[in-house]
Amino acid sequence: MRTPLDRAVHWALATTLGAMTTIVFVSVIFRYVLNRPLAWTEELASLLFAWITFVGAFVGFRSRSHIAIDTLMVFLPERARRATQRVVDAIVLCVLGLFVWQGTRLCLTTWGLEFPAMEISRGYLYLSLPVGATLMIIAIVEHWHDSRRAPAADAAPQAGRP
Amino acid sequence: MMVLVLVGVLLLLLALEFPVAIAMTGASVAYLLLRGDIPLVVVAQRVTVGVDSFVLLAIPFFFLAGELMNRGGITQRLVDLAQALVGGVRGGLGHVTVVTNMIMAGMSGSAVADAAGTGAVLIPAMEQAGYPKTFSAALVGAASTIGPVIPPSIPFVIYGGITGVSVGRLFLGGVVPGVLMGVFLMGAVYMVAKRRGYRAEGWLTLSEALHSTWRAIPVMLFPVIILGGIFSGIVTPTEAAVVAVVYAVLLSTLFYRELSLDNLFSILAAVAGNTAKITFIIASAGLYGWLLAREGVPQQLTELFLSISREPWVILLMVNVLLLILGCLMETTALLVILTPVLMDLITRVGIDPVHFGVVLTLNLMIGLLTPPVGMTLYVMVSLTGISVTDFTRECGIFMVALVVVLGLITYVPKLVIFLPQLVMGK
Repeated sequence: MRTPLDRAVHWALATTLGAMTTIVFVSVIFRYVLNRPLAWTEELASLLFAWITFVGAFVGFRSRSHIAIDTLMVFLPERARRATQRVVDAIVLCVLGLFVWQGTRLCLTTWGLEFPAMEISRGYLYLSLPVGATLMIIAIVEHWHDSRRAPAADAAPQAGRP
Repeated sequence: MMVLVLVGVLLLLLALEFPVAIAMTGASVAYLLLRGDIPLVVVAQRVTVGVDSFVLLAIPFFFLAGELMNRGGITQRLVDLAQALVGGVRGGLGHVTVVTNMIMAGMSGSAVADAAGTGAVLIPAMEQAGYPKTFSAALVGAASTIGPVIPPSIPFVIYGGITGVSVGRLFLGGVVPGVLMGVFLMGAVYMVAKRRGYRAEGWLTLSEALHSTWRAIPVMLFPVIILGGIFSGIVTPTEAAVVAVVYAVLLSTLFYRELSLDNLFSILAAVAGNTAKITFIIASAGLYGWLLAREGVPQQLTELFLSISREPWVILLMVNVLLLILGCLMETTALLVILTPVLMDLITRVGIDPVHFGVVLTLNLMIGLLTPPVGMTLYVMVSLTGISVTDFTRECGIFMVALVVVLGLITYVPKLVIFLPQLVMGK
């Protein structure tokens, strides 16, 4: 089941990675071919990378394909495993809530600081965590919602791809 | 005492199947709450700064290059080339598998992407030629571990990002060990082929071989671009990865014409999502590793090791055995980001070259990709072919022996690793 939010994140991730690729490529061209290095490209690419990391984690939470270690839990009976999963989810929500809370605080306190080359607020970097964590919270809730309607969708986590 | 909270809670949460990134943060938060003297805002600060690094950007780019090669018809060209090179040896397609992965290793940085990509092309081909599925699956899995050892390599980028060791040196250090892995795996293929009576596929005719080679020439420019660019100092590893991505896009849209813009968009989204799975862990390790360092864990571990022996070769043996065991139980990236900062203190104290150690560590962890219960490559191959984990593991045994032999070789003959970086980049 793909919600409008899923599509929006999908679109945002593809665009951001595309932009990141373009920025780094352009910086190589400017430095090596045109001999006019651009100062801001590394900062901007790294900033986008942080956004990809935290917003992209939404995808892992949404499809339950984030990296986790099921070595021990597979030995539990299905019902016990599901029950544990609920408790785990609740604690995960608390940690994500902490990310939102402390991330917002950090973002506010650092808003006056600037990136040296881009001359924009460092808050844009720290904003990625609370925004990403909010999306992850939504992903977990949406997953609950989906699995109540169609229990088969609650599949075991699949392997990530290192 | 507090260090027990940090380590114990992490192990507990991991065992309960928490997402690895959340488990690391959770353990850190538990520790911070119990201590009470460090403001919680460091959680947000350390986690964000954990991925604020230009070196780590190479991860999505090398991912992207590999994915584009798989979807854009480039992998198929490599298989054709390998067929022309080694198809005529006994166990033909087996050798083709190893050689394809060695060439692929020169372009992609991820073992799991290599396994999925070459497996999708080679396993059906091997099945048609009469090889049992278990053999082809096990071999593709084992051969794909060459990927991150021959440069470029995502684990080397992560290791370099954490330790500050030159990624260029690590890349060069991986060349000889990677070739050795290929040679030993081909030896193992030959032994299995002889015992089971697999035949050679026969050499191609000269014109066929030339045709395959001709078609693959644009592909062979990948390693030249990536490695040439890095070692001539024109580009950083991150930038080289981007140049490779741009080249892959051009090649598969304009030259082989197997990639549409629509495809490209969905590949970008998928790669971003898969990148986040890894980099979210690296971000959380930024916090967790910082706390471990504050608690002096690296130093304590160092003292523990040194109390057993001060001989570098004994230390390396102990570290290797420890890593092989942990590699069975834990996910590779998680292990890499947790252990690297902890072990660096020990390594430098006993005078082991950090480049040498980086390559040994990576090769060791790659073997962990093949071993149950936690081995990503193992699961990719099992889900790709439908064979059982037990069959895969049994069939993979001889290949793992080959890889462990190479691990032993490069551990105890450091020259195999550090000769090339010293030759090219000086002491």
